[in-house]
Amino acid sequence: MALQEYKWMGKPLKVKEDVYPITGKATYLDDIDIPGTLYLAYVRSPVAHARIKRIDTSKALAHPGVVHCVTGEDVKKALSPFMEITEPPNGKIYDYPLAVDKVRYFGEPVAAIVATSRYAAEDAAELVEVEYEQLGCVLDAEEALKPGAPLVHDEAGTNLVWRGVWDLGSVDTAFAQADRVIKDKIYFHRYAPIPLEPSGVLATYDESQDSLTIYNMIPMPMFVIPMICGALRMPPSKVRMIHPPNIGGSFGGKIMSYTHATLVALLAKTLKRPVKYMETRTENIESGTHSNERTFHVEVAVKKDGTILGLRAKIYDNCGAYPRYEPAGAVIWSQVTPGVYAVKNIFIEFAQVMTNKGPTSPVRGYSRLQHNFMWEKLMDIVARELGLDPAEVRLRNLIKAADMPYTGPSGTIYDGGDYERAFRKLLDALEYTKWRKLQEEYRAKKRYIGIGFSAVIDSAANNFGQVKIINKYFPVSGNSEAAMVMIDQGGQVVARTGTSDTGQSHATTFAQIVAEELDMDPSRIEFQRGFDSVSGVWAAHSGAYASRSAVLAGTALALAARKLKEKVVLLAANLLKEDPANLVVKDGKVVSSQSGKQISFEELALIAWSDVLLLPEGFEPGLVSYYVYKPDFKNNLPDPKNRINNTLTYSYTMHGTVVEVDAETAQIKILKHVAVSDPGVMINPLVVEGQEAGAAIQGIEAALLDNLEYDDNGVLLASNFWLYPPITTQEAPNLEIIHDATRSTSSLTGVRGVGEGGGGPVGSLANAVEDALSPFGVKIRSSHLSSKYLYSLLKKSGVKA
Amino acid sequence: MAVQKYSKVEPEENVRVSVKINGRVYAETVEARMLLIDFIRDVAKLKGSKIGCDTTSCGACTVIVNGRSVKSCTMFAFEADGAEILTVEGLSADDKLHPLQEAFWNNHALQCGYCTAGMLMSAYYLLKKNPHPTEEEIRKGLAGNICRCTGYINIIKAVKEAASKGASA
Amino acid sequence: MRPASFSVFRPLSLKEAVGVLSENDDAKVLAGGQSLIPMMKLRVFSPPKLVSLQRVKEIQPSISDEGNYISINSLTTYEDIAHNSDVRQKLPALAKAAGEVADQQIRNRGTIGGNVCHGDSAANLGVTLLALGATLVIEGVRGERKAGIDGFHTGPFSVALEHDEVVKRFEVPYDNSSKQTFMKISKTATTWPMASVAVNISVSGSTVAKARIALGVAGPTVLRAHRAEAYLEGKSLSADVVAKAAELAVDGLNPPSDIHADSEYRAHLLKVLTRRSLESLGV
Repeated sequence: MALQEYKWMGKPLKVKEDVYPITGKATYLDDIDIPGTLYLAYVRSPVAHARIKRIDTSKALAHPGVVHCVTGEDVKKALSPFMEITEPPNGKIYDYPLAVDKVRYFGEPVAAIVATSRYAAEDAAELVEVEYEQLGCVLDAEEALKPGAPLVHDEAGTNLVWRGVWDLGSVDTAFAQADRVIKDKIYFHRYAPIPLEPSGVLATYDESQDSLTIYNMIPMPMFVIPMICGALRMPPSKVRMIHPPNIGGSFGGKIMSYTHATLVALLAKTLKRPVKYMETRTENIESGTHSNERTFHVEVAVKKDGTILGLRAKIYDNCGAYPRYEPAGAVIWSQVTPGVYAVKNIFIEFAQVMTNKGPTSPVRGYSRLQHNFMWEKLMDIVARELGLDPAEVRLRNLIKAADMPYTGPSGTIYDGGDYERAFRKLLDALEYTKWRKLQEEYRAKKRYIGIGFSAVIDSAANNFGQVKIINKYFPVSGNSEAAMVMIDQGGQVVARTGTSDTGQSHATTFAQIVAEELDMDPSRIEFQRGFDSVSGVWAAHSGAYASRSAVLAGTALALAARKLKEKVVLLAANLLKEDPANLVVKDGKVVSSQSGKQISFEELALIAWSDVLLLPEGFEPGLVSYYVYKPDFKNNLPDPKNRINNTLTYSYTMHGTVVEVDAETAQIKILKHVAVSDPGVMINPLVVEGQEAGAAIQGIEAALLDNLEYDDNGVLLASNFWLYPPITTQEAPNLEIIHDATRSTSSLTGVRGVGEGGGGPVGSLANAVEDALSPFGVKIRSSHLSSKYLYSLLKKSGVKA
Repeated sequence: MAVQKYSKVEPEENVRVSVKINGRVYAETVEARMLLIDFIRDVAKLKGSKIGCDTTSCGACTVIVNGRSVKSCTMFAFEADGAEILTVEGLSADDKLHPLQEAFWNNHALQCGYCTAGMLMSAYYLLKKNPHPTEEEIRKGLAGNICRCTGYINIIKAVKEAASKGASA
Repeated sequence: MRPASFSVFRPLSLKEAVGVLSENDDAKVLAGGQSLIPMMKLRVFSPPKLVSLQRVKEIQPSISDEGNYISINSLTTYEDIAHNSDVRQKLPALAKAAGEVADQQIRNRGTIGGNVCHGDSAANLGVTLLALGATLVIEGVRGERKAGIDGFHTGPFSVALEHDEVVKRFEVPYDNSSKQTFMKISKTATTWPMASVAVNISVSGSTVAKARIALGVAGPTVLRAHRAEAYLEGKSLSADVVAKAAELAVDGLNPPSDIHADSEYRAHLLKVLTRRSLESLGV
């Protein structure tokens, strides 16, 4: 397994770039001050679905400090509608940065004010008068498919975005052979990623070049270029995308900020002044994109001993009022089709549907955490129905280490790992047997503790080929990342790649990768942070999303470093008059193992960059190497049965939670939480563990605290941090994270992408709470365990206070 | 610092505000409604303190005013007239990091870093009042600071480390 | 996110403060600002004028033990109250309630005067002072008056104060035989309670001499559970007595519904909290 063979990778080195936020010297988007900047404030819809009858901006325009005001009508004239990933079956979706003709969700931007100060912009936003003619709204995906349901987009002719079918293995046979068929319905709730820094954009326009510069936080900056440039009707060469050096988290939500970027850029161009928009927290919760809300109607074929023979599922996904990145989520779950289980016979019918709720986007764990939850709830349902231990049911069905790499029923290639060993480690570390005993003792004293598991796959480094399942003409496939490593004129090793992190510590971890290749201390490697489409290094797929950076940028950097090393050795061999086979690159020098002669990077740099007549024949001046890495997914494109290997690496985590439920107040307390994870080769364990902990706590928060609840009129009730409270130090438990790492068989470095977490604790909490309340026959079928929901379940089962 | 004396109470739509931040005086006439966080960021141009919410929940704007940790988004600048303020930029003296900053760095007590300034100031106040807090006291002391990335685990470790190194000075 | 425009008055004395208030119907009092400023930032409430009490000399933070009551000036912060040794010793429920308001930063600025006069039925100090039977000392243009906490809360976010009046201080009685507690349940430590209960019992031997039970988030204002209080007089707190008192406390209540809890769940929580509060007193 040889995980210890690395010298610089695998070390928990201090994260160099942490010092900037620590000293208050980090620069985030709103810290960028450009003289003459104007500020944008939105007017947003207070209703979920309505025709816009009249907008009167006259009072707003008269307000001191106001420079401009735009509505949907203005924007419709100036912009083309945004490019969609696919068209709905019967028509079109018209999507602009402001509502045109209709508002389709609560909080949708309807008008925008531009003023000389933030305060004036907000004052003026209050003065815009909008007259709405309310329409009936539809909030549930299944309801939205019924005939007569209000249409979110009239031109689409339907609320269906896309429907797909996966018929894998021999499902009918599996069901015919079952001892029992268990049916149920499972629900995954809607929540929001709420990064601490809300989104924002700053755009400037250079009249002399007719070019725009857009400072943004979009984690896939070039992927959205067709959307932005298509809307603005400007070529990509005239639109510069820049990230500030620091971004305060995203968790996928900021990907959809291209709508703001387009509007702000248009206004900068129109007004010929810099324009800035900073999202408020309320705006971020209302429309800073949501995570997919999904309902699973499941049927599972099982043998008496708990072996799962097959699964049928009818799945409805509620993507809100504007698909945008959807319906990619309608196929992305198939990265983890069977979860960690050796189930080959699976029939899934997946429908993604628009409703009058906020738009969804690739939030952390996009589409997989919902799917993982379905499996983990199912395992406990099966266990309970058959009277078996939920740990045993999992162990019976886990994919075996001997079968790795494992080709799953939908074409995914799981890249190694020992699920059983990890799960047994979890049982041990959790002290499972002890808690089961305590559970019985406590029940006699009317105290209710429960134990729950969740075994989740955290797929990483996606293959865009999967989008061709939805739209075979969609011109994006595979993935790619660019990297540059150079020795600059001063002899300094400098590296750069197309990702720009939102807290993933790329600078330090990537320096470790380059250090490994060049065998030198990573602290001597300068990693240039930030994204810039004009002066940086990037590929169209660049970005920090889908947990791809460690694998894709990591591999590109390793290969660029190797190319550079070859050049360095070639030049050194020529200058030292040595056989390249005798030369060793180490500690910023090239040394001959034969003669002991050496030459430093500084000396090589002087010749390579400046004293170029001393260069050997054919050697291009400079010491720079680029590499653009394109992974081979093996099953690269979908076959007629929609089978494809749609991610490169698959880390996994076995979660176990012990809870105590206060049956009187319906309050839940976490007594213990253990996670055994296999993240593959870890570049920096400090960084990996930090993200795993963060992902787990976010999962706990989504389960216990955060639910985007709408009222019957489609008004979002949970619209600020009082009503949608983030988890604090007082609710976040301590976690025990144990690593059981194996190498990835799919990546160059053995590294797996990590950090999305697969939503593990959402499942283990739901299972633990049901386990705790099993004496009352309470069944948990939802991912959100608010105390009011739990109370209603307790009441229904007749529990008395 | 001299406080203006009023002989007759007149309403002020604009107020002359003079504050000492990290030892330096900043004085400007601003709207009465200007929030202290905006004064710090846009008048004093100290960008370290952040805005993360609009309901006084997240603590990213936390600074020390006259020795107490406060959420500067929930104070008007005029309320800080004559006050002494410490922000994250003032934590390190002569380029030497404060023990809390060292501990945060050693323990990777941040990822995106957006909560860090506020978190440090709250931790600074906590240790001043309670130089040897238990974990429970640390968690209670930092409950007004939201972090979305770390799950708080490394932050707690860092505060414990700083406390053990006598960081309350 | 940012408040609408306003003009601010910054009086140095109570006389100036009440004078300004009496002349400006549209002026709102600003104390610690921890309730008012968030509402102004969300533009839920945009008063055109504010009267900042920050420099009013008569009401600066101060806590003193006056023999059988503790006197607390209205600008005293939650933090001051929570850590004051006299309050901790003699009014432990008040110290606890103050120490559990929101978070440290809010406790450093928010004041007892602001908390009570804001009139939020979820306010920790409002419900606790009701259980403790506090007296308010109030100054207006007509001079000083005293008012009991009972009846001070008149409706949602409204209290029995004339527009020109300012609460100067609170006189909170204490006695050695008192057993008291404050308990709440909130979604997170720093969000408003879903339900809260403060109990103050004076004991004679092993039975209850007098009881005051105050319920928070139980109705339009903080409420006393009069029937439960009357029931408890002369009884010792056996499990049955406590259970019955808790039932009486919520009988007929119509607590508000919101995103965190509907009326019925809230009433249930209040019942459980009342019972647990009484159980914890060890009487």
